Amino acid sequence: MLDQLKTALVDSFVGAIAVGWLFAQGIVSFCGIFTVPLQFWFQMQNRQYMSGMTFSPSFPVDMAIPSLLTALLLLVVAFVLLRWLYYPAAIEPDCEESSEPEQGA
Amino acid sequence: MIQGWESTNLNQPDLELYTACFVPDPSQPDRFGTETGAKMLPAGETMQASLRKTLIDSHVAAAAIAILLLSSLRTALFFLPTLSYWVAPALTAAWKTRDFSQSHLSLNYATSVILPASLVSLFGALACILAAWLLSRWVYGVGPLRSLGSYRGKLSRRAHA
Repeated sequence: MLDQLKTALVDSFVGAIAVGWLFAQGIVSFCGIFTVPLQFWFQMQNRQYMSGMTFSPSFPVDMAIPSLLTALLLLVVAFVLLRWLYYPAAIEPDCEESSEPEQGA
Repeated sequence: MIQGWESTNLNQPDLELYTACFVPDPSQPDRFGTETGAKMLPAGETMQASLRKTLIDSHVAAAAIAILLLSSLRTALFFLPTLSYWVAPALTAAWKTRDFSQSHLSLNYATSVILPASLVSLFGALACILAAWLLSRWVYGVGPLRSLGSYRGKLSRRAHA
């Protein structure tokens, strides 16, 4: 059942597109580690400037944590899917074939 | 003679598998950044070469590059309305007064709030383009547009076949 699903995903290129999308979203989320806090900080600066408040808002480093976790999760899922779909099938049968003659000898 | 062959426990089928996986095709110049011919890769480089080959063969790298470029294009298109909202009134005023100095390009409340955030989004789009370029250079050895352009040729050949 899983082998059929894997074959269908590989043959239809849905797996490649899905893994590529996960990789790309992981990279976009990684960029968000820098852009999201910066964006939030700009908005806070503007709000402070417009309302005439005197205190200066600190740079929101903790705003980067969700982007960091999202990027890590997406990249890990993408790598696991890549390994499951494209890595083992080509290598395992050859290793088994190559070990058999040695055992016979 | 294969360098380092004596020190490994590989037999002939393993060598053939290794040669098929990690040794570049002589017709394709320097695909993996190694010299042409059978050569044992240094420790740590095997996984990288394998990952690159998997990314090429599975078309995952091409999909990721295309999605990164489209994502950056989408973000850049979001920046255009903000830019036009800021520049269009200044251009209109400059056209009416025939004064094309920068004096009309002032920030009002809305643009002063939206423009910095949009500039950060634009920075994100540039970062996506940079990531696509780095990925394409690492995997294919060429820029993203050229690597995707080569895919267009492959797809058209497959469609004709």
